[in-house]
Amino acid sequence: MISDRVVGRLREAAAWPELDARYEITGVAGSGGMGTVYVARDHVLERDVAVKVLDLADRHGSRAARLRREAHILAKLDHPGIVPVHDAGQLEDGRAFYVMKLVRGRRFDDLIRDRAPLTIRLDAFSRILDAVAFAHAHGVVHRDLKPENVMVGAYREVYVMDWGVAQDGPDRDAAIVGTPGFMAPEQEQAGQTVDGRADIFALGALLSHVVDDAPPALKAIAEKAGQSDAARRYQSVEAMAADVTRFRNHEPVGAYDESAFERVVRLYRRYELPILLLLAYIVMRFVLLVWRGI
Amino acid sequence: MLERAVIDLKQYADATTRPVMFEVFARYHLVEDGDVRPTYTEIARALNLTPATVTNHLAAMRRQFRKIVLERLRELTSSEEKWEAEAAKLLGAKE
Repeated sequence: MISDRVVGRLREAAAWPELDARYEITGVAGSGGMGTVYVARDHVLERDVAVKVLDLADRHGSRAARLRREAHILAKLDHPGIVPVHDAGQLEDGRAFYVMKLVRGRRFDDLIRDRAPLTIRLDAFSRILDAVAFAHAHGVVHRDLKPENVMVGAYREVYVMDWGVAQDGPDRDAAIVGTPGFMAPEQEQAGQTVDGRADIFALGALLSHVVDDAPPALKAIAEKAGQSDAARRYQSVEAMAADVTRFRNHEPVGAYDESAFERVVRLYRRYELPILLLLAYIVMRFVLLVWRGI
Repeated sequence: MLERAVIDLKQYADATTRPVMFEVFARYHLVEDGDVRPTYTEIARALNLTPATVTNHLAAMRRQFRKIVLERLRELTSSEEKWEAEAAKLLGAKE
């Protein structure tokens, strides 16, 4: 009778991808619905990389086609917020794989859970918006944006990961894909047309997670992005990003009707330094006048 | 099933007149004691082989082991769909 530990090692042995001598598998980074991401050493370029490998070569080749499609999408989307792909191919046993940059860092949901300062969370969110806007400009809709699919590196670099169910061009398969809570209503029905506004819905849900302790203007941006009716959402990621930037610059946010008091507070925050300098000047002048009067 | 596959693998290695191939596989994948598994170099030294030979033997044995496991699984499942589902479950590496 073999122990559970050995059973685990035998499963690992059977799943082990036999790559060519260039890549040496050194560990497992994670596993998902159809494959496993291994950490490997690239002996040619002397660096660590991540290798995504199918667990099984399926009869019809649909999984392999999906993995290859993902690699092609990543290759097409050359952007600092999207993980670069270095190599792709097929193992001797028929399993497809691709090699990509090994991203070391924390998942975005960990960053949110640990209550990182709002400025850091918003900075990361803005970078996500940049990456998704870039993808949309190239005709790619991610379709599964959620905090677990975003990595934040040690230098606050942000990577939007897992493009396995991304839609490249018009939706032909009409498959229902996504994650409940982040899926736009149109994604939940087979046959519905899905466009970039589905990602905007997910970005709204993501922003709600990022800013649950934030001012109403920011919550209004999340609410507008997360409207059930796609026509009532932001119509582009750029429009949403512009509102987020306006919020960060203490400018009026398009999605929010502020009160007079909120306007005064916002203007104070925007011009805090000149206002303080002006007040200091007035106080000084007043003190001088009083002193001379004595 | 995995236990049976290991026996089949040993028989395969014996039949190839290179039983040392199975020995390499066993030392790397069937190690029971502690958490630390030997490095390729340690296995090479213990069996008087080069590390490159250990790498090659391990690759060959793992390929054969995977083949045996998938064949055995096919015998145990009633349809191609069930086989695919079971194989994906079995081979999905865990963190």
